[in-house]
Amino acid sequence: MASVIEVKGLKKSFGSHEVLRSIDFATGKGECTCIIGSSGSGKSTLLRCINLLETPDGGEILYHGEDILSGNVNMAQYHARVGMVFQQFNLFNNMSVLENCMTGQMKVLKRGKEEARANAVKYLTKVGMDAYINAKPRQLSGGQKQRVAIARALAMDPEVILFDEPTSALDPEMVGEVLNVMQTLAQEGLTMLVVTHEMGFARAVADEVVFMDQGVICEQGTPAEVLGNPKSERLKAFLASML
Amino acid sequence: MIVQAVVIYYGAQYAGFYMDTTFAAIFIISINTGAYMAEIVRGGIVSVDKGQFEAAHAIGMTHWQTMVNVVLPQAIRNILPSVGNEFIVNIKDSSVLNVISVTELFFQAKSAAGAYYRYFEVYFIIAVIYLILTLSVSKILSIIERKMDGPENYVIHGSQSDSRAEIHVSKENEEASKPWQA
Ligand SMILES: Nc1ncnc2c1ncn2[C@@H]1O[C@H](COP(=O)(O)OP(=O)(O)OP(=O)(O)O)[C@@H](O)[C@H]1O
Ligand SMILES: [Mg+2]
Repeated sequence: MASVIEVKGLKKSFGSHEVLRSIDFATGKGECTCIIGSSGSGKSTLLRCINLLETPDGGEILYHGEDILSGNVNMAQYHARVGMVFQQFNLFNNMSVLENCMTGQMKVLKRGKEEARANAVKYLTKVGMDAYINAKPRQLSGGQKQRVAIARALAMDPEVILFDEPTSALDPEMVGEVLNVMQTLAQEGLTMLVVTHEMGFARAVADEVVFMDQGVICEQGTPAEVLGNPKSERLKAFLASML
Repeated sequence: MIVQAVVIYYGAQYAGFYMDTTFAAIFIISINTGAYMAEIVRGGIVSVDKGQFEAAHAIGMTHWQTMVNVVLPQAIRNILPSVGNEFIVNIKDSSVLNVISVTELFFQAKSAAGAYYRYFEVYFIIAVIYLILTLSVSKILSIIERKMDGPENYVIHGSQSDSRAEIHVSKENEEASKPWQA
């Protein structure tokens, strides 16, 4: 039982619409878990609940065994340990690439300017964006923005990063550069929770694949089990539609 | 603003409250602008993308830190053109304040023209003064706007296909390692 994040009986409704109906799953240290499922199945809502951008209606979210909904966990600390990368990048538009990667370290982790800068440059180099440290987000391509967004998350030295369809807003030729970065991170042992429609990525990189359908987890297991040998009709239909 | 000016100034006198005309002028312009400005600022904050708040919360910033570091700078940048407009309207509107006998520019011009019988020259001069005032305001604002936007071009440090990058994103490399496109 060494789960980093464990979700138990998680529920979330918007009005009368039950988007998450009792979700249970756990992700261990260094694992890459890919969440797949059709549009509207609640994948984003699940990630947003884990990151407390939405408040769940019921259930527990355990971070190293502590319920983050109980009020005993320091939220700023938790957010610093669990990063998020968004489909729409959401880089801070008023800041340069470098400032984007420094501001969280300085405001939240209270790091000094020099330390924050060195750390930011380290991760921007890692994603191949160090040449652009003075650029503003509007001057970058989608793939470049997303790599900066990943560096911004990494600069906080988090334990887990949640990715919500990080390549869905990208032109096809830019998808590869972002997936490359993510694959390297997975190989280096970062704990990752990735909502994606890139089945190839899930097959090659994921340790575990979770198939969500209509607010419940329908199937989960290794990529070979879930993608190679689907059991339910829904998953079969979903995989067929992805080809 | 004419109506506001008269109501406030003479209303206050009626209530036994005699304002200095300069004070009254500043007071009236302030409340007149205040309402518009509040609306402009509110609109500026609302127009900042929700994703900016979410990204800031996701790295652990507090609401206050998010506002100061992320949202307000963008809101201010977005509303600068409207703020500039409002200032320019103010400068022009100040001429109506002679209804409460504030000795503003237009009022002075009228007396000067009356005294010397030189209507065209005097009005031409004040037209130029109004023009200089409004042009300076819009020039200052556009300088601030440009300053906030930063340089149009950015310096690329090192070469673009940087050999120091741990993760190569060049085309050849991608071809070599694309297991997900099998
Ligand atoms: N803030 C909200 N208010 C009301 N309904 C919402 C809200 N956010 C999501 N929903 C609803 O919840 C359902 C699940 O949304 P969610 O974004 O989690 O789906 P998803 O699996 O991420 O889909 P996609 O692949 O299209 O991103 C949708 O039917 C959506 O309409
Ligand atoms: Mg989604």
